Amino acid sequence: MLLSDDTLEKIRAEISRYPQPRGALLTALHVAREELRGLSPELFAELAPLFGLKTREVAEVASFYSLFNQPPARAIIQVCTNLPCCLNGARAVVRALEARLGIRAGSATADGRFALVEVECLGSCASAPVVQVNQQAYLENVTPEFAAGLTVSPEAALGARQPAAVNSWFPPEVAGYLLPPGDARWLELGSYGAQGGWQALARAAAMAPGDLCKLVQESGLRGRGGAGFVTGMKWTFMPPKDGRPRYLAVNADESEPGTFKDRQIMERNPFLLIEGIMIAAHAILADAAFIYVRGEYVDAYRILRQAIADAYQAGILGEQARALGRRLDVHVQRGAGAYICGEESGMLESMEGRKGQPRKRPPFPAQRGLWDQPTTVDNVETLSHLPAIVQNGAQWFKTQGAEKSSGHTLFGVSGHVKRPGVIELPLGTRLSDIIFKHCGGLPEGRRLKAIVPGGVSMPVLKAEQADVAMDHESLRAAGTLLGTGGVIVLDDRSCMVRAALVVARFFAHESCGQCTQCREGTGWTLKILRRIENGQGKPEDLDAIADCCFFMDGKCICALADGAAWAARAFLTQFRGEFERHIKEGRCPFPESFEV
Amino acid sequence: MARSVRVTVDGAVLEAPEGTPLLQAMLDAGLDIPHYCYHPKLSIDGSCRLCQVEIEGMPKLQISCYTPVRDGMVVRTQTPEVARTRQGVLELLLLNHPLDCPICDKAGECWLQNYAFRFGSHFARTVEPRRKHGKRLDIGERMLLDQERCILCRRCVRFCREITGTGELAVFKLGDRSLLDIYDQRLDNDYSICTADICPVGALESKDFHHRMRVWFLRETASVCPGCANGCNIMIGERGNRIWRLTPRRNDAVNDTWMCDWGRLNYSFPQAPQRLLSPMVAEGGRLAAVSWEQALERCAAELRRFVARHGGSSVGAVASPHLTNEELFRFGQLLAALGVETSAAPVRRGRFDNLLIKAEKAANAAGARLLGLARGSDDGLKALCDGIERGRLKALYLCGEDLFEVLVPERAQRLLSSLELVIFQGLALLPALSGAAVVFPATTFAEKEGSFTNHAGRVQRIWRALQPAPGWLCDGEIFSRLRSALCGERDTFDPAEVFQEMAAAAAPFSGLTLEQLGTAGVPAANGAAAP
Repeated sequence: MLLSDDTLEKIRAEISRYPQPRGALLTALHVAREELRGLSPELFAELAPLFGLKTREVAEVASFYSLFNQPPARAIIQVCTNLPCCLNGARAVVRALEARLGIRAGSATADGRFALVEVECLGSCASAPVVQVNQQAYLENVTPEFAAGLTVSPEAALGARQPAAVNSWFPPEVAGYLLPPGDARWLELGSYGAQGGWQALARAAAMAPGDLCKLVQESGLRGRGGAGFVTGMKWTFMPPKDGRPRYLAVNADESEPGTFKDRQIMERNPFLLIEGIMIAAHAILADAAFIYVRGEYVDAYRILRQAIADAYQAGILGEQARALGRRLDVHVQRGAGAYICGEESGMLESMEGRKGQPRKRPPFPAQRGLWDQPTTVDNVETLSHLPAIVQNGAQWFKTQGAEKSSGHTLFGVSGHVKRPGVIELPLGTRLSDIIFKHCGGLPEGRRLKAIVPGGVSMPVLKAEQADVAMDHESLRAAGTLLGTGGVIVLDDRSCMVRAALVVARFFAHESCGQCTQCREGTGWTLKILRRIENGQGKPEDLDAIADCCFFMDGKCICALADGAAWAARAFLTQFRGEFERHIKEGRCPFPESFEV
Repeated sequence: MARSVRVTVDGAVLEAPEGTPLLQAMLDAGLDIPHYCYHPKLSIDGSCRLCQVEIEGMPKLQISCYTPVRDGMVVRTQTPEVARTRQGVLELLLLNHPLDCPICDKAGECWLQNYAFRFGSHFARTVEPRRKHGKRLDIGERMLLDQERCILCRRCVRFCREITGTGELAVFKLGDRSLLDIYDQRLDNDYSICTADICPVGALESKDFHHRMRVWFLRETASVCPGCANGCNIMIGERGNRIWRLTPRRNDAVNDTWMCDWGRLNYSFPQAPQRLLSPMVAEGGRLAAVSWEQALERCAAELRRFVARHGGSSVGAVASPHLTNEELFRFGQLLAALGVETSAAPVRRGRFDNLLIKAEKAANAAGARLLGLARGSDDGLKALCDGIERGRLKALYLCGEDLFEVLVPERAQRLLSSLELVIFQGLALLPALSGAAVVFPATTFAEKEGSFTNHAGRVQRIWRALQPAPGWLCDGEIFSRLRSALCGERDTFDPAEVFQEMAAAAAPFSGLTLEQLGTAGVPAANGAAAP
């Protein structure tokens, strides 16, 4: 037996939370990995019977997730090399680590003390570059010198800590209702209650579920996970209560590069999310909620678990959830490093302990979702708007944003700005105001060149488009989309081929591999862009990229391929001249650009 | 039965039962719609994205495999967008494909080749290095895996999960690192080679067929597997009058699109070195090869003499469950002419499962029963043995070798040595038969025409794939010639004509003709219900 009795006990306890044992599989792999510092066929064989699975089924699932496939070492140093981190010098950090450790990223030292891994967006874009050692708290604003210090010993790397900085806020002129004011964190039930928490829940509980749905629909609240679907309408897709269990699946797998907003709620205001969950659960008559937190968000996971435990302790959740007068359970699950698990059906698959490969639709989650039961999937921020809506009414909410984009949202701003962070602002705020007024503009002497408005899947905008209002309609009119509201700012030294390359690298790494076009198209796009950046591009390469975008866009099971296509196509059409210069000159014409 | 709906595809109306996958409806109508992951006998995966079509009212192209037909649906499969989408899927699949068609067993019947020629763009734009993965991986007793050729359609994965329930294969990792592989269990299930059949490319290959014959040289003949009572429908792949492979042929009433590995690999017996190639007669204490005419004359003379001396009831008969219905019918007529009263049709039994493999290891045991050649729960075996042991039966017309499998060897030897006259008709001469007076070579399923009746009473046709030597007489012809010789009336053996006689004489076959069996077979009539 490889696992200690303690760990086995933990796994068994976790299994008991789910309708089927598999629900605990990812958690089991996490705790086993922590104990054994790695995964092995022997471990899979030991775990399999606990889940009623075959060894190969456990191995298949484990093989899908980045966190379960890192080179084993005592200290695994993970450097985010996605766009916001690259814009802020992640490559120099990797280079410094490679030099000090004498290995290439993606491998471990021969003595097994260190491993160095490049990872996709860690969701901490305002403090880029970001490093995570094993499953410790993030190390932020990492310099090559700081990184070098991590290589002294694995203990030094694992022990490295920084004071937790808060980089989310709302400006004085905005009455924030998602974030606590200033640097406050409302992590105790008492502090949340003292700020007026749970009043909305009491009010919602007094309403008939149907009326609550109507209220939310009237408020115009649109999902904040990226697609912007009207939340109240999504709720109406749930079938009438028929005796089957009903679930609320909470998407906390925030991993669209440039997006780090849900984390602010989970880490600073977790009871707001819990209250939102309870309101939604009442509206859709859910028996339980499952929160799926991305694996790298160890702090958010820890804080949420504690908050939920406190809520159970206080009788807010559980057998007789106080406000609702009935049973309501909330569970937290951890992902394991796969962007695709943020896609709602990929997330459901992952929650059930499978590879996170999106499902074909129909059936939609409301018909057959988590564990085949009626399920509504909502994003963390979306749910966190509910208390304010219930408290202040639909009409109030509608006045908070733009016409068809009601309410505040959390804009995450990263890249080349003086004061990056997550800012709670009304939808419809001008992009230029966000960049220049709220984030202090670009560093001295730099000019704005391009902006990714809503996470890297969303088509890039040119500097001259920066006056656009950040709401669904205005952005659509500008040829792009709001997405997750993750704004990535690129200055005038930035090479757009490199930007496209980093984004393509992300999609190629994260494609789940089901659909032909996405699996092969993301990989091909990346290879071509690498060649162009290295000065070996050919004029016909640009047609090949454009064709790839056509092949991927709207032709796969989920929207990952769409995002890959939109992003690549936008860089290519908005900045075609730069691509052509690379090819013509046989080299990158932006020597001062960020490195990738 | 679901109600039928009408769908317009490229201007033509086709009908299909409501709920049928649109792709299947179009394929059934004979349209050439490219697809990889869809397989009619597996769950729908929807991931290859090749079968996309335009459907009126839908904003995007739809995968036709996952779109059920609806009344009034208007579908277009020839639009520029559909064509370009198909071209894209094919170009992307070929990006990393090794293009080692010259050494790939699948070449010639490869759906990547076929579709690339029909719907692809005939030249490669990629200059990037191709992915390197495992080649010729030994993943099972009978199977090889080439991961570079794999297009990740996951048909094989679903086959092992949904059909055999063994789940050996899985796709590991993700993105363009996705890899088909085994893990802790080799691909050794009883149907493993079916994965090579359903593999659209040459990723999964049968070791048995590996690098042995180019498929375009093969002449394929429809037949029925002779390996057990299930009667799986097959194609015989022949070249140079040799069988190179057997492959399953779809028959939803019998074997869907599958067959077991044992049956599939059981094709070498027609060309086995020990096979009897000439009739023989006893000559001075040993068997000597003679012409067919001499053997028939001698056999008729022996039988005539014996029946005259001891009466027909002293002759026993063993019918082979490997003979066709028509041959068994003629054998029965021959036995009747001789006055034979005791016949059996023992059949070797072996391992079976709940999928296709039946315990009875012969194709036509049911036919022998329907034609009255095997009675009782033991197919007449006990009565026959008792008759010989008690001396009531003194002669035996023995067809086939199953008797030696059913009885312990010593008993079979003892029974045979106690007989005064033994006539044997089989594929190979066993030592126990050295005392036979006449020996006729039997003919295999691949060398003749006719029909078998499977375990469920389905009468299915076989066609000739191998040409016997000139002058060769098949089993049925031997029976007919002997009957002519003994009864004086001229008797021939044409399977279609014999079937007609059989249909008139034997209730289970009444109303049927050989022609009417088609390629899919027909259930025999219930004997009790026949007029």
